Amino acid sequence: MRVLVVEDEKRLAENVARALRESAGYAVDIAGDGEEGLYLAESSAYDLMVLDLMLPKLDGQSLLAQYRKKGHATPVLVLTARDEKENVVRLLNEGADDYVSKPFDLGEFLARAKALVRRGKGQRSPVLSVADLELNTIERTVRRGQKEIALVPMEYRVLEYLAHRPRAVISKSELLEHLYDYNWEKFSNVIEVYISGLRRKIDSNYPVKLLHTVRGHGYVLRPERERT
Amino acid sequence: MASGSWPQTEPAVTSAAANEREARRWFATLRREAKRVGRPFSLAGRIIASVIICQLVLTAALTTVAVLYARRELRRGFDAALNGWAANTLAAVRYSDANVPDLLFDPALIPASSNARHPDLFEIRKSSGELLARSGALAPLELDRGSTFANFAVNSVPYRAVVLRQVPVLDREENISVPQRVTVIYAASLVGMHEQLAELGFSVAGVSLLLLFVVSAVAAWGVRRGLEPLRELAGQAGAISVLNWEFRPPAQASMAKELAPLTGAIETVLERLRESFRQQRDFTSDAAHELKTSVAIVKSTLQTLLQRPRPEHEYRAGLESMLEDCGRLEDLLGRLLRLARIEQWAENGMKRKLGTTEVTSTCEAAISRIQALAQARNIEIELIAPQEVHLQADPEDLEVIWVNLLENALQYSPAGSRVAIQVVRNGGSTACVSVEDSGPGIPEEQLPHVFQRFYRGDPSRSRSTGGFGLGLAICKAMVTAYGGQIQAVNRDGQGTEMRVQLPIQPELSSI
Repeated sequence: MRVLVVEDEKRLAENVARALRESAGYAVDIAGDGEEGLYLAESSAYDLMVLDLMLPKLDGQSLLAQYRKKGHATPVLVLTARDEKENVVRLLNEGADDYVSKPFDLGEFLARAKALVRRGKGQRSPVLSVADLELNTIERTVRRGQKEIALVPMEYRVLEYLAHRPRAVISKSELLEHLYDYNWEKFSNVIEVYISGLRRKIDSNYPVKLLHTVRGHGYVLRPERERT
Repeated sequence: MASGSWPQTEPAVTSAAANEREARRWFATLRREAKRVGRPFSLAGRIIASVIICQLVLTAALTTVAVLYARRELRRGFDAALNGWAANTLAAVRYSDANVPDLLFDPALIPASSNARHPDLFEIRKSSGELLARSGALAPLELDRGSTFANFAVNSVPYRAVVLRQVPVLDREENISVPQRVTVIYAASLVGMHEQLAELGFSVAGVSLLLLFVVSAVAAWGVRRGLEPLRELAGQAGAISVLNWEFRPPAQASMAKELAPLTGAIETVLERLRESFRQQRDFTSDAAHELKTSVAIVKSTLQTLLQRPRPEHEYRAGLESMLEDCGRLEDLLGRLLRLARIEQWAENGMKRKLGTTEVTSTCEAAISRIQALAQARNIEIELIAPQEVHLQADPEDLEVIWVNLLENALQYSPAGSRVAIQVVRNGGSTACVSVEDSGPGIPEEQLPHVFQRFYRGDPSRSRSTGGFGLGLAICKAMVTAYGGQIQAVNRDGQGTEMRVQLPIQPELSSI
């Protein structure tokens, strides 16, 4: 998952980004002002935007309005110092999906961020399952049947992205774009490495294979009995 | 720089506190005015009273004119009648039948008296002066020679007399070739005429008074109805509150020419108050944003550190950054408190004993306080003070102003440039201090706002240099508290000049 943090207070942006990277395993980009934020949001694919309201150049509310007007559906979590009712109502009506008021609790912030990402993908439960594969996005653990499977962080992130939209074919470039921050091009040849690692760990000992390569299109997570 | 006389322009933007002060002054003036005028009174009552007074004057004038005119006409008629009666009386004189005819008076021939209660009087004298006949009570009349009419009183009853002098007595048989002449005085009482006049006067006055009552009643009704828009306006104005700024002047009131200034004034005051409240709210919201963000930074740093066990150097780095953030928070709080305190002085007229301070020395102190920052940015601060300027002030207050102005100038000046602070005495009454930087200048549209609290022309830049947008607001508040003025002026392509004017002897009540 890839998150855009639009926050002009550098230290706060760094703390939020660090928490998202460490505790949720998300790739995070930071924009220091509203214009940069809008530019990044429109030019890249994000699974979540964290938006401060008081921003230089373009304030958060205008950014949000312009972003939504152009039809972008990425969930937006607003950081606000003003949590009066009218203000919150206005924000939500402007197209925000949720808000936390400063000073916020980092745990609550992460929970809300994860929930928004989940909902953005059409999932409700924090535990994603495909056949007997279970992926707990809170604990970041994976099990197949009764057996817990240990993954390296990047393998987990690839699997989590695929598991959010089971049965959908997801291209390599989409995976790259959503799993790395803005210098993702240089990672282009590592996806295959993680896919093969994943396949070895979750599929090799089971008759029903879950992770498949659709040649020329990408990858898909769906139960399929191995043709013999 | 343009020294000497600076334009005494009112700064375009006044702070919320200043607006409130203004509103308060306005209400105080209203109250004073009310006290001077005295008891409460009714506008309707005043209007109706003036209508009644006009009507009374009109009635009096009308009655007087009517009576005077009638008197002239009646007297003319009366005089004609008097002449007639005198001629009739003359007709009662005839010649005797003797050879030498003598004049006789036949009382049977005199006409009936014009007034029964106050009988007419007459007197006929021969040309020799011998009395021929007279009515009972007529005393010998002393009449001016030549005058025909005379007024007099008998037992305080007014009479008017006519004198027919030396009129010939004609003989009916025409035997007399040279007629004898007599003088006839005939007087009739004026009581009847006076009664008529009084009657006329009373009826005119009576009718007028009756009209007065009708007109007053109509006026009272009309005024009450006419003042209806005023009452509606008052109702609308009364409904205004902090929660409801909506002021819709009733249609009638906005159409009334007399109420237009009042409606306009209410709208203006309301707009000003609303603006002041808006600024206050913005300030609170900005302050909350800054404080909450500062706390959010510290809190998120702490929580990030606690999320998982970390190596020692990460904890150390985290603690160091938190110490830095706390310093920033402390600075913010200090500035907010200082601003609040200065505005409180200005508002409450806090009395302080102020000694005489030499301005240049406070500038030197300010420069030495900010020297480290200037050196870090490789900027030279130059003090231009050709003469000593003394003014009544607390040296620390002045230092606060100069430090903030210099800090602002340093922020906007490129490294290696020069910032100048100049002290001039402007005539006998004001000290002028200006701080010039060699920065890019302030965009014209931002000039009026630079003294607003938390205003940052380019937030990203001043944020990066650690500003909150409070320094200039503090300067402005302090200068205002001393009854001075502060202005931001762009010098053509050579940066910005901040001009401060301070009165040499501030009004102590305002500090």
